[in-house]
Amino acid sequence: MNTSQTAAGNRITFTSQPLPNGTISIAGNPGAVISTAQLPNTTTIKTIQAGIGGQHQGLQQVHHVQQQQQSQQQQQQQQQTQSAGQPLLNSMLPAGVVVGMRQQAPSQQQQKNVPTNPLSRVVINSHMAGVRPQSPSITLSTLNTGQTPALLVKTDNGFQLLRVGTTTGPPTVTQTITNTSNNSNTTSTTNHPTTTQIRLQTVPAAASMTNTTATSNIIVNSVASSGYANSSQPPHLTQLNAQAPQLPQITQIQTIPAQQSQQQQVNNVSSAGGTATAVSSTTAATTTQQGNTKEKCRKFLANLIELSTREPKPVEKNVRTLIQELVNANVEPEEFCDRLERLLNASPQPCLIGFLKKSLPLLRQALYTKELVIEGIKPPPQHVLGLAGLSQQLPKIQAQIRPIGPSQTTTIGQTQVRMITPNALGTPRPTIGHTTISKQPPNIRLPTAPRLVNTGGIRTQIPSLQVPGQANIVQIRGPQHAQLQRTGSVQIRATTRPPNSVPTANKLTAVKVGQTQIKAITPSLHPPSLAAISGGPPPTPTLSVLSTLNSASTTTLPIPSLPTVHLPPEALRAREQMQNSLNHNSNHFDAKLVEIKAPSLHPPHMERINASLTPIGAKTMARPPPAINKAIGKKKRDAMEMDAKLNTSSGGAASAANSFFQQSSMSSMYGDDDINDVAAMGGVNLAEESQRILGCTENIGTQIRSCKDEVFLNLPSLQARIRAITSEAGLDEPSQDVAVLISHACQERLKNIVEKLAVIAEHRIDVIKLDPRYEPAKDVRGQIKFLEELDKAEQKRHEELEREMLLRAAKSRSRVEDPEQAKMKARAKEMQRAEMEELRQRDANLTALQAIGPRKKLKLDGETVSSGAGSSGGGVLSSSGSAPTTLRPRIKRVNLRDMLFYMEQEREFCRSSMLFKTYLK
Amino acid sequence: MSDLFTTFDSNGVAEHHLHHNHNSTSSASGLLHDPPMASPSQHSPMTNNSNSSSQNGGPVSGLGTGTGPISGGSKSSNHTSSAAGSENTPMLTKPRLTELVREVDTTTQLDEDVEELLLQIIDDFVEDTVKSTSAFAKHRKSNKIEVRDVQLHFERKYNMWIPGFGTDELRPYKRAAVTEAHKQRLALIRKTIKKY
Repeated sequence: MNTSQTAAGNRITFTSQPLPNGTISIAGNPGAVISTAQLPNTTTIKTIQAGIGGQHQGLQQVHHVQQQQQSQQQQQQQQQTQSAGQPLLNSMLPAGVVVGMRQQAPSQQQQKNVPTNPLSRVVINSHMAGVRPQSPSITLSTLNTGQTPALLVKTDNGFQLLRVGTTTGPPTVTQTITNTSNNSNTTSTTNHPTTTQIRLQTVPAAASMTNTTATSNIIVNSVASSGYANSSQPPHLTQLNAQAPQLPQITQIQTIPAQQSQQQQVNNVSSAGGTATAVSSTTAATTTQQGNTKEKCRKFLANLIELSTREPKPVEKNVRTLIQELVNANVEPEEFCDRLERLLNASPQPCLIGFLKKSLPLLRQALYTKELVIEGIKPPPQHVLGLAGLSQQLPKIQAQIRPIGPSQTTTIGQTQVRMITPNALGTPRPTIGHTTISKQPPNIRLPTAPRLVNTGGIRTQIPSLQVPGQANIVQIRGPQHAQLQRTGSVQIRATTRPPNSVPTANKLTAVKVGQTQIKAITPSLHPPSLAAISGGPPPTPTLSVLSTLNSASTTTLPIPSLPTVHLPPEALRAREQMQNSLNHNSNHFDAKLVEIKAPSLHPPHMERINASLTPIGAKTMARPPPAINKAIGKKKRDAMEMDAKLNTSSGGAASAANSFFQQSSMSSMYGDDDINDVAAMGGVNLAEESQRILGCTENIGTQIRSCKDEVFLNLPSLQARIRAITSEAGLDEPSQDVAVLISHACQERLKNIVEKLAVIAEHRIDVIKLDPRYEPAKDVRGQIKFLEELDKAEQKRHEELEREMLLRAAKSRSRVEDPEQAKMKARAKEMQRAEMEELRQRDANLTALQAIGPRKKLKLDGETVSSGAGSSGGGVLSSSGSAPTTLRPRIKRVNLRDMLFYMEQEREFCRSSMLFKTYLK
Repeated sequence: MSDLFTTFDSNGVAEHHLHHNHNSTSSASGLLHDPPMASPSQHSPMTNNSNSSSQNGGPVSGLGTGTGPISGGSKSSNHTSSAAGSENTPMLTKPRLTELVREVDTTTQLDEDVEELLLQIIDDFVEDTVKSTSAFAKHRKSNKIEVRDVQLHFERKYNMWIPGFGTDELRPYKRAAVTEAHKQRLALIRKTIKKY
């Protein structure tokens, strides 16, 4: 569908102006009726001018037509070989060629058929297909003559209007297009002589050269009008990319009027005075510009790949690899352009470098996120994007350095200087002196051949370092172009609306933000320089890395504090990203990052200087200086890196040895401390302990008896007895030790016996009833006593009764001669006598006792003692009875009963004669 | 019973010795004085025997009276010889015994009967020890009683060990021989006690 639409668009462009306008308006939106009303007026005027010009230039047109036909045939053959999917186009083209012979007639017929039925529409389509070969002839005729710009303008204006209407739907854009067409007359007339010269040069060139001519055209336009060119550049490139795949020659011719028309758009906006439409159009333009940059770059690269397919295979492969490296940031845009020139034998294209630097970071992000895809090319790796983020801020500083040095500057350069001067004051001067002085003489001396050799060697040696450098270079262009665009946009706004202060304030604040970023970055330059002196480059071996970690921990401690204080949060985020990209770890790695940043910062200084030189060189059309600068910069980098590597390697070895020695000494210290600590914790002093041990050993042999050995028995008598017994046995007298031993044995035995006797005596004396554990089970004694008391009481009553009877009998004075009464009287008298006698005896005893009371008591005590001391059996019993009551608490007397009890218990005496004799006592 | 028989035999021997002594005394004066020195040692068991016989019951008293004049003669001879030396003094005296008792327990006092019995026990102890150790010495084919013989006797009969004499070796603790059956009984007793 897209291809058919584009074909229809191409056909429409070549047909008469009023008819296609009418048809589009009917098929499209109903609101476009107004625009169609305006268009016929302009078209009528232009057609008159075109007719006049055509008559004069008949012969010249014939020659051009023949040449174009030959070139078209070649292109057709190439297309057939490339792709077999386009047979329809091939069939259409020969019909077009046939129709081409009739140049002017079909156009006139179309004009007549405007009011006819839909059948006439079908006729129009057939004519449109055949119109293609006519367009180059018309354009060539217009270029050659002075009056032809009127025709060129007329036909192109009509064509452009139709294209824009088909491609973009909104009516506002169409209005702008119509307005711009009126104002473009003046500008187009001024540009004609330069454009004609360039076009004549491009006609005999090959297909690949056509693209380069397009870029050269862009350059001319940009130089002529600096203010407008900034805003208009992106749409130019987009159109080139869109039209290139089908007909490159036609696209060359068509691009020029497109540029002019867009310039007119801007003027029309200001002249129209429509406030709302102007604001909306500007905002839409800005958004489209950002998207367009990506698409332009993508289409450009895609076109290169397709064109390379027409070349032989090795060239195709080289082109693909070159583009892949460009996308992966392995190749700089400058190198990219150089290689393309060699591969394709093309002319130099300095403007392409700026374009690539501007658009590549956006393209890489889009490819990485897969918003855009290019066939045959892989998305770039993540580290490229990460490095790009860091380097965005850094190139601004280097840009500051270059303008101050001696160099040719154009108006654009002066504007840059004005922007940067306040920030440049903070930069370190010695670096500026070194860079500016060292570069100028080698530019003059070195030839071209050694440049190539040096560049090749440097690239092979240092592949990893090129990555951040290229990223930095790419981004240097970005902010510069952004600044230029800002200035351009400011001019436009000023011309359109001076009273509006809000949008200008927004942009001014944006500029200030950039300046603040630059100021924030300046203090960070000092610590990385110190780190570079102490540390080494990133591609260091593991051993040196460890050594640097140890050394960096002490030396680089003050450095990280400064950037944390000065840097804004954006820079901190960038560092965090770096840390994430590297290993996730502690302070040592932070120091490592500082070391890594330091060597990476120096190359961007050099590259920034080179980058700052390149735009000036491009502007002045001087090619050799940037190459020389690159070579010199790389040589310096190599020297710096080699010095750093040597220092790091020697320092690493020394630090490793020191660390090993420290480890050995530490281990020995720990061992000694542990042993000492154990002894101290135990509260033991080894020296004193050893002395004590020796002392103990010394004192073993000597032992002193503490008390005198007393002999219990009488030794002489004992010895005499022993002698008697041994003599009976027929033995000699033993030594004195035997006697002493026997005496000690006797003493020990007596002690044992006495202990037992004491226990037995105490047990005998003890009163069991007093023990709290004693409980009476039966009280037989009490019961017997009670019974006895009862008997006594009964006897008393009985006796009293008898007594009373006797008394009565005695008292009664009746004289009855009864023998029984007489006996009873006699008994009563006897009883009275006995009682009287008893009373007398009692009285006598009491008186006697009172007279002799104390003496009798003493005698009683003496009797008891004597009875206890006596050895009779009765004495023993009495003493046993009295002893507990009198002597219990003070003395325990061991008596014979205790001894008998003991002898009965002992095994040695239980059946001895001694026991039996004791019984007899 | 065996002790009683031995005492009777000793009495017979004593009588024979006494007869010989009387004959010798009647024959010569100077030489006769030396045998009296030996005779009191022989008479001392006679005195003990007479004491024991006096302590015995009534039916034995007749025999005692029969031997009375003989013992009286010996006593007279003893008195004469005791003046010459102090060999007849007893090994242990009552004050010494009371002193020992006070060392053991200050609140204990012994009756006279008990003290006499203790002295008798000691005499028997010494005599028994010397006789058994003599037997040990003879068994060793030695002419002399040694310390180790005495220690062996005390250890085996009285379960006594008196340190500080003879060998310097330190004797290990002597554990009583306990049979397995005894252990089992003790275990059962402990279980029952716990249950109760």
